[in-house]
Amino acid sequence: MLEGAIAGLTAGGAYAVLGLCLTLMYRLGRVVNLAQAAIGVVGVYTMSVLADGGVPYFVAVLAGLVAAALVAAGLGYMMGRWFAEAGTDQRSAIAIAYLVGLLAIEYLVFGTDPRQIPGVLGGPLATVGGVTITQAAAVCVAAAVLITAGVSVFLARTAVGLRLRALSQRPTTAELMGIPSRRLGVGLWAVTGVLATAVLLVVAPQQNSDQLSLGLMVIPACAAALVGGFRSLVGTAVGGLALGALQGALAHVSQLQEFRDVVPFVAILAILLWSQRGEVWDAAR
Amino acid sequence: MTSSLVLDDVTVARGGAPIVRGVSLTAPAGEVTALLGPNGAGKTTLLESVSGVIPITGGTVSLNGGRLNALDRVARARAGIAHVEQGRTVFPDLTVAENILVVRRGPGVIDKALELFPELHKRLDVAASLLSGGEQQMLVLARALAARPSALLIDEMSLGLAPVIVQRLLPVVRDLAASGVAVLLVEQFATLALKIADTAHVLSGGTLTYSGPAAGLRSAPERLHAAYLGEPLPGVAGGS
Amino acid sequence: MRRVEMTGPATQLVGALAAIVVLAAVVPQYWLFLATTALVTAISLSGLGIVTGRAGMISLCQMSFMALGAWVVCELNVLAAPGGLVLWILVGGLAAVPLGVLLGLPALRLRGVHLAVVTLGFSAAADVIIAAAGFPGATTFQQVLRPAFIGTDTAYFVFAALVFVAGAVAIRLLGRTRYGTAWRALRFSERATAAAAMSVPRAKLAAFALSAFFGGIAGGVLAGQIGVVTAQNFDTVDSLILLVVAVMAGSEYAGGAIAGGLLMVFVPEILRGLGVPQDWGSLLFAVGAVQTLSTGLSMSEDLVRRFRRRGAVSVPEKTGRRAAHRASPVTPERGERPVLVVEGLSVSYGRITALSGVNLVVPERTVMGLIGPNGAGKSTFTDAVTGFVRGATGSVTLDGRRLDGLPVHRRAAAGLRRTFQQDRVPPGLTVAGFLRFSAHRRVSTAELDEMAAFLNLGALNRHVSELDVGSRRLLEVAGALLSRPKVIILDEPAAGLAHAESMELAERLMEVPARFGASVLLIEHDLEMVRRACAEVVVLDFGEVIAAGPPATTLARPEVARAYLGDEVALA
Repeated sequence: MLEGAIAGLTAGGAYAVLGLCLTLMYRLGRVVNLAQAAIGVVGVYTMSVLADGGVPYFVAVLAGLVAAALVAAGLGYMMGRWFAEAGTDQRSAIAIAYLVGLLAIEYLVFGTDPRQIPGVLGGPLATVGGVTITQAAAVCVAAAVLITAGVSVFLARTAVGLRLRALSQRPTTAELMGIPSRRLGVGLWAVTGVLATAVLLVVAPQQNSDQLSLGLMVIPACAAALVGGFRSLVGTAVGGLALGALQGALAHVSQLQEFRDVVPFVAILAILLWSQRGEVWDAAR
Repeated sequence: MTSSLVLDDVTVARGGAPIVRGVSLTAPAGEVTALLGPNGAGKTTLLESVSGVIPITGGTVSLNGGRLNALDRVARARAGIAHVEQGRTVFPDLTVAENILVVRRGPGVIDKALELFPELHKRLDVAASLLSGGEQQMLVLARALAARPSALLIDEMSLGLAPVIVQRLLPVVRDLAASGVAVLLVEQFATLALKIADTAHVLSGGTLTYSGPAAGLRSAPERLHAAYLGEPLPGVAGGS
Repeated sequence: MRRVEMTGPATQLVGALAAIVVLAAVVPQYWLFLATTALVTAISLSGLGIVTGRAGMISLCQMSFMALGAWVVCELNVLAAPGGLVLWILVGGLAAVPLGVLLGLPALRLRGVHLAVVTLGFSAAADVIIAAAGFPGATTFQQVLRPAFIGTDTAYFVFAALVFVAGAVAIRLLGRTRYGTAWRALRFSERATAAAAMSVPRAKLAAFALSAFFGGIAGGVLAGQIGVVTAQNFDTVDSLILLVVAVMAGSEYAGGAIAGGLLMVFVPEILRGLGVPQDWGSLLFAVGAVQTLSTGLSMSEDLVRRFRRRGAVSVPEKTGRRAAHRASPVTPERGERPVLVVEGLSVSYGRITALSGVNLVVPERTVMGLIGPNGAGKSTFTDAVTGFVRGATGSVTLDGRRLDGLPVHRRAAAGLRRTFQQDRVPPGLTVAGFLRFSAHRRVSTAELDEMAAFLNLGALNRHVSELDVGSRRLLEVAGALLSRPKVIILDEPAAGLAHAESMELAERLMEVPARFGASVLLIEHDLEMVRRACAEVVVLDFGEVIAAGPPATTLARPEVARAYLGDEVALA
């Protein structure tokens, strides 16, 4: 069971990083971006196709990251151009349309056959007390921790981070101060696109990785973001890792094994019912 | 007169209904221009159309000779418009220092912006949401100054503030104008604004009903009473 | 008037039935089978149209509801339950309802986005459960038995079409009920919906439960059509595509649902015929949905609007407003018995005190003014009295009944109504539709006509979206008055009206106590209007009552002038 939980940390790290992207997008970009993982899939499959075509792995990875950044920036540009004044609900509906569109494009461009995604983090890293820790799990957990810390520092210390925080608190006032909201928005989409790709590049070789199941990793990521209330970065990271570990542990309980993918939904429902118990009015309307 | 904010025949509609109709006025640099009028007269709407929060339906707005109509609010801010909105719009979760640095970073920016508000110096690391109302209003003004604007639009500065605080802020606005900024001051509390204004305009029902020297209104408070309370009020002196 | 309203839909109904018969007769078998699938999709889309199109919440698990409906039908078939397919389908639809309610529960208090997350999570979880549990009879290839009268594919097409038409008629009728209006209203403003005495949670749940019901029915009809159901029929992705198509086609209209169903079935079919990958279809739907959301017009709405523009009766815009009966000048009168009593009302937001210990008594049959400079706490007072503010202290008594702790819609139903400063009239309704909704009781057409004449609302069949802001404010007042309230609080009703119109409104308000038996608490900046209409005024400043009494003497008091003009006397 412990071994299962540790193995689950690979996916958990991915949930955490994707959840961080969702939290950032919600806080700073006013959207629940259900297309977040699907954007990452663009990068992963670009890498995979190039690597299969003989391009060196790390060059292919770079190309994948660039592809995802471009696609994300394009989507972010459209969002800023046409839906600048729209509310979170409507922007999120757009993100759902993005998700459907991206999945279609990915099938069209990369084909519908499942692919084995090449990776370099295959083997075990260490065995502690009879429990094997894989390289992928270690990298994913480290990535979750580092990205949480990095993003926190970025938001707290840099000029751009400061402007993003100002925008998230009072968009109109920030624009009146000359803060270029659209450009920052596009940048935000691009950066989260790159982060999503990066973490999926680690996870994809470890599992059954068709476009859809990777794209729907956004669901457990939503659960993670909900743990942090779509606000707290640390809460999101902890939520993601915990969810992955729980799923991994359940995978070792034979009666529950086939239902472990129900865990994110149960988590979402429970968190929402608990955290929203005091809310009554949709403040704006 | 080196530079100025000029509104020419400006019309603004909201939801199909015209709120401001054919307003023309000039706010010269170095002066405080007061825009007075009862609530619902369209003062805020007019300011918002100048800074680009809402679009202008007709007429032109120009700053130092350059037309602003086609620019969005970000570009207008960069062209030199600073808009202090109603309701003390600090960034609540940012500290006092961050609220200023978000506009401009660099050595001395904070010191320069807080020159007129020394009391904020001790509270640089306090989150803006924890400041008192008066301090928040000072911070919003300081933040606008950090952008080094050519024109400063101030909307209802005294709203919800104790009179003592307002008393403290008014000379600051005066000093700001003296430093070469064109200040357009929207104020519901007319007598306050008239104390520091050079020129005054009264907006009523979307059109200007008085334009002239502020002194003209100071000495004839019955005009104000008519615009505000519906009819002249005997027995209440408006100004000094 | 009534008759005209009825013949339209009746003609449409006859037309639809005729079209079904003709199609069944002439369309080849293969296409008829696909058309049946399109109808199944259309039934499901109709359900989604209620929750997404009307109520404006994002639901991403319509396929799961369909799966449940299909599962129930398969199970009843395996059990050889009595009643036959038609009854089984109905049971399947009903079975989905509790599930819809369960999933809707978090949405009671949540923003639409959160509902999207919950339903997407559920959709994926349902995939897992279905894959694990399988459909009854699927492994043994046990066909769902159809009764003889719908045994052939042609007959089954007619059956599916009739189910769709029945659903469309039901939705149309429901759309006229209070709930139907409430869905459109809460999409625009939850606050205004509650202020019209409608429970927002109940309306949301009803929408979600109904959409689940339609999903369940659609799943059942599908099971009867294809005989053997497998998990592949209900993918998470299909739920996403369903939503995207619902948005694009505007599935809150019957025509939109049909169009959506046809698109979802025939676009992939045509692409396949052309040898083009079917994923282009999904891409097309996604682009269509983005386009719809950017223009704010779905395919159906676009058509409806064009049609309406062509057939529009031009109503002279404002002529009516001024022309109406000039009331003989009356002076405002003051009643004696207190009807609304507010005692020690305090509200603070964090460190800021918005209201402190406000006492206020509105006597019956009185127009009372509540005035004060910007930021004095007038709107906070309104919110606190009508139940929108949590954590307000003090007490509110309406006609001897304590309202403390009651939610907004209960206070409204008790006879305490309000209007809003911002425009909160849902633009999707007609004038008459809004008035009937807001009235919260049965009102005759004569009553509506009378009210329209009283406040010069113009034609009752106009859409709210065609009205200017000032007229919408008056419409809001009219709706609240129709509910026969004891007290109505008007928050700046004259904003957006020209001066002459404001004064006209003042005359009307003076007639309100005698005509409708209600007291009016008027919050207004136009003091001339307040002077005209009010028997008494209360002045708020910095969250406290600073003066009260008859308008002429109260407004002349120095502290009131100071509050308004900010005289330096106050600074001493």
